[in-house]
Amino acid sequence: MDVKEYIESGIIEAYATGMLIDADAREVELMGEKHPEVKAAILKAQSALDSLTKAYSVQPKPEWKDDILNAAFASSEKNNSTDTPDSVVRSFEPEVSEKKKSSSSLAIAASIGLLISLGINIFQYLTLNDFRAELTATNIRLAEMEQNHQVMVANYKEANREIAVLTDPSTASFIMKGVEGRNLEFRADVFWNSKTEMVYLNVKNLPQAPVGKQYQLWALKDGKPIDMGVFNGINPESALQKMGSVPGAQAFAVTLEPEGGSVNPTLEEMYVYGAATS
Amino acid sequence: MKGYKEKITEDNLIDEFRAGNKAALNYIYEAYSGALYGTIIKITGNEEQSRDLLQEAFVKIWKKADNYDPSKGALYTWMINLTRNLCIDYLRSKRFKNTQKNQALDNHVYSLESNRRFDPQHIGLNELLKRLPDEQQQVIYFSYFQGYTQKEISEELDIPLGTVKSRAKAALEKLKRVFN
Repeated sequence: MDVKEYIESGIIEAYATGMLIDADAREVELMGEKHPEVKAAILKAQSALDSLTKAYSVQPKPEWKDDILNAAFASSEKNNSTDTPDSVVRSFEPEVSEKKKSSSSLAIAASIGLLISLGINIFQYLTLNDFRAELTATNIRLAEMEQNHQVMVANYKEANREIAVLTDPSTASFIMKGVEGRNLEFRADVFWNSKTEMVYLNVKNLPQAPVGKQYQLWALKDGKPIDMGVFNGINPESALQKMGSVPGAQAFAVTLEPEGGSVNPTLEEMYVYGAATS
Repeated sequence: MKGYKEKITEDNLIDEFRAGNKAALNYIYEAYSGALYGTIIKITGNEEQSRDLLQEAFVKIWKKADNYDPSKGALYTWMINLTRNLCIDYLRSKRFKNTQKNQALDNHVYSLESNRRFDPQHIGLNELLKRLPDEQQQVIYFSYFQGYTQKEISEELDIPLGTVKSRAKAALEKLKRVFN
């Protein structure tokens, strides 16, 4: 089978989401070992799912950490033994001093020295602990920020796509305003790109369509209305809604129609209308 | 806690982890326990059980450290798959015990929405996920988060096997665009 065709078949996504039975999954892995393109596609699919799970992050309670890690360490003895090489028991026999009597001042000096050293040790230990706690907190913050960052990048890309449409020199705008008999403040703008012939809609002020009804956008070309699709009102997710495509139009209008739209506009139900702004 | 010998960084993490350096597991816990825990909650929908499953996951991750083969994929992918399988096994045993038959597929909430509904950043993520058509979310949810096979999904949703695959593909294409 052609490698490209194999990648396009969706088998890799089926593998990454874990829906394949073992034998089939093993086959995908073998294909990945043989073909770097397959391998790359597998890694990409896995990485998308990795990101998805990271986006679900919920920090476990801080007090669980020690118990969980200790349970893990306790479960594998092999690692415990290699990890504590200096736990060998050393015999401790006090050395017998020959000059017992004369050593009292020396002992005092030694004790003071020991005390100082102990003090330094405690101090270092406390500072080290502070650093560790700080590092933990920083790592957690970092993970949260990374996650937020991914969402923001995605939002930013979406916004950029919208800006690209608006600033494209081959984009013409049509400002549609409330028609007579309607609230004159109603407004929706159409952006039409002459190269792609795509129509984008930015609803600025229109009431939400009532239940069972939808707004329908019409392009008016040589006096004839052309259906550009339906919408419900202001779209909270995205300022620009992608509508239909049309090779050119003199004006655009919006009417209220039964849900799903009509073949011809109901002129009595026209809300906004706008010709090209030049 | 004892056993911090080597300073762990992104670069030596994998080597130290496979060599059994406890500091590496500590590093993994700091960096990924949130993602693993969140995913466990997503799969089981049960916060109480999730703490135990998180511990079980870390026990497994540590025990099987030398099974991890970096040439096969990312460390995180290995850990999350291990964690997912653990949770899915748990769900299966629960389903098995549960003689109540009325837990049909369509009673499940299969949306991919985030656990943390009230966090504004997550609302942003949810908005993005909402753009995945329901039928694509459904396929990802049942396969990746509930452990159904392609055949099981095809039978339960009454769609052809090939459609299951193509929906998974379409969904992942969109996720790639959202996250990359």
